Amino acid sequence: MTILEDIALRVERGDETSVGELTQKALSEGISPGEILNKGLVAGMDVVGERFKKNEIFIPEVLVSARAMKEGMKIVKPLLGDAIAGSRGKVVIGTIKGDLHDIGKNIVGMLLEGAGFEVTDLGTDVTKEQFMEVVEKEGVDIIGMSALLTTTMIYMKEVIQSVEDANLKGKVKVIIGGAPITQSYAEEIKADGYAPDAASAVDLVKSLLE
Amino acid sequence: MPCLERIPLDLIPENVIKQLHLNKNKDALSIVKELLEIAESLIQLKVFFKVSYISKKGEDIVEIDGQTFSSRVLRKNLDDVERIFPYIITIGKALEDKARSFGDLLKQYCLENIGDMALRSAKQYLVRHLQKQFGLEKLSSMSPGSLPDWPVTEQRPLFSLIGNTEDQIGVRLTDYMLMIPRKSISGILFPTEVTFFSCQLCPRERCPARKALYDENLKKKYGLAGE
Repeated sequence: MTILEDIALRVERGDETSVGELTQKALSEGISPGEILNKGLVAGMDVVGERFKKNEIFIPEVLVSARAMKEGMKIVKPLLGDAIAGSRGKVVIGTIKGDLHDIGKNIVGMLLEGAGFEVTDLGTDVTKEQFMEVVEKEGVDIIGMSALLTTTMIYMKEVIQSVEDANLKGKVKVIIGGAPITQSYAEEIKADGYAPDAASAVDLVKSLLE
Repeated sequence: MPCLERIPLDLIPENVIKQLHLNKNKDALSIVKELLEIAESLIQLKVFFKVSYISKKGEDIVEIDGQTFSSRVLRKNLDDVERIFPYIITIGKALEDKARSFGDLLKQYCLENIGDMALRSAKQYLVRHLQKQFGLEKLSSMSPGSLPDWPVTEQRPLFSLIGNTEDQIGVRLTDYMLMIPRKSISGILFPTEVTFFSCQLCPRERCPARKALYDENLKKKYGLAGE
């Protein structure tokens, strides 16, 4: 087994200590930070994401692996530079105006970062103006919105309208998720995609950008 | 409005580990014990309920102490019922604030789930209390927002039915029907011969809160087929 495969396996197993140690070892052996990130850390989380989608593991196990990955990221990220760290794309996420639920959104954000995307998390109770400010300032590729109430999800349509009004439809993609959200609702409000869970959200972002 | 006090927090580390699916993690016990200690110091459990009487039953509506509720499922479930028990349970705001302050998402997730477990445990305590006090065998519960048939906007009449919830209980409803503190649950408990779960009428796949299997035939019996 190569050291990068070992890092991936330790990420899968949630072995924080070993991931940190092996990451240092890989660097000392001359392996580039980018390779460690993509073929070690991200590769490990990709397997975790697949297992979660197949119902082989649950959210806490995904989070344990993410913690292990974070140990490796702490070491390689300062060495990567901005260009490579966010090279897969930029995503802004938030829980929609009126809604304060955040755990699902936080997990999506963490998995997206784990997959090599640059994530701006606006938190909860986010207005269309707040989303658009980040879109316009930071050149975002994707807006990810979460809602857990039928009373708040209707506001998602206004955010999508704001993207249209700014002539960014097609350039900035909008994806949605949360308990009351469905594929048919996403189609109804002309979102670019719907994800039923965090791992699917990562796949969706990848498919929209790559 | 009756308030139950000194409700035991029935959270055992091994059960919490199992519910959180942390069994395979070697640090699970120490993480859970740490979080349970935090939870026990922060949770301020309040269980409020009321005894209410159904005054009118119409097509897909019931009127309870002057408040009208629109739900075919609720109406059908209350067909043979005259007395129901609206309730609100909260653990307060401190735990959700603490969870949010964690930089560690695993701890945030686990602490939030412990809060949910405390709410479910308190609801079971209320059920046992009502069974004993009123000599009832089985009780089922419905909450606005659990089904499209009984949307979350029906929280408004439920809160009106219960009374001045903010002063009495410290729970308020926002314009978007969100309960503040967020770790609060509300609903109606009612006697049944056969236990009912709203989950039986919900086709949502992979829901962590599912309490019963989806039953398409039951959905047809309620006249909800196609919804």
